[in-house]
Amino acid sequence: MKFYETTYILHPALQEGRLNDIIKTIQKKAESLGAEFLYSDNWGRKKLAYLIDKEKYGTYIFIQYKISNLNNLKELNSELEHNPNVLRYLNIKIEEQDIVQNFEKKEDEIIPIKEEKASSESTDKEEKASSESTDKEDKASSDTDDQNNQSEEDKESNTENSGEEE
Amino acid sequence: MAILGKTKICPFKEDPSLIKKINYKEHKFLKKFITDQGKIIPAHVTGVSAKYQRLITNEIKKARVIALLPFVVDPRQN
Repeated sequence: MKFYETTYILHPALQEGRLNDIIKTIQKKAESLGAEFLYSDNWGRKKLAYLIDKEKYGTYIFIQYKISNLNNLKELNSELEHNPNVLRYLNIKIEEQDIVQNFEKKEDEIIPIKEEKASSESTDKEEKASSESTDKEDKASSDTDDQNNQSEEDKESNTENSGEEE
Repeated sequence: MAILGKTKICPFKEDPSLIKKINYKEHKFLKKFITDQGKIIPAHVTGVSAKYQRLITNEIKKARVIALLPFVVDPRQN
């Protein structure tokens, strides 16, 4: 058993229902040739770096599978080659460790970064708006390393506020 | 940079976590190693060690096939 991954670009004019049909037909053909699917992903509609068949955009599909017979792989390649909806395909042999297993974890990794950004932005806005509430939040969220900087910031904000009050 | 007498350290030896990013799927990261025209920047300019420069060139060439990176960019078009 050898592991492979394939990315192929589908025609941008295809609508969702038709797109899913083509993806399923390709998958069925591959499975009929003895391929065992391990991971599949739709990267969505992307801009191509250069024109392919006079098309600017394309939908990227990414699949990982294992297949035992090399001739079957060649047959799968020829089917992708002769399919008019497939603009381009790339077949690469991979190791077992390269298989994407926990794609849910990736989503978890992305979410906290967004939250951090949002929280930092919100604190900035609140600092501008009101000083007292932000001081509490900073104390709550501050790490040992950041305490010095934030205390300086607090002093600055306090002085500014005192000036405004006077 | 060698002409100026400044030695650059390989970014992958400074931060080994970047080695995972040498993949044709990470085309935004690989864009650092090509010029505006789409040429691969030589290792003596970027400071990448020979081991990782070999990997980078292979992955850039894969990304070009699947249209994630350009073969050439004509500066007159833009």
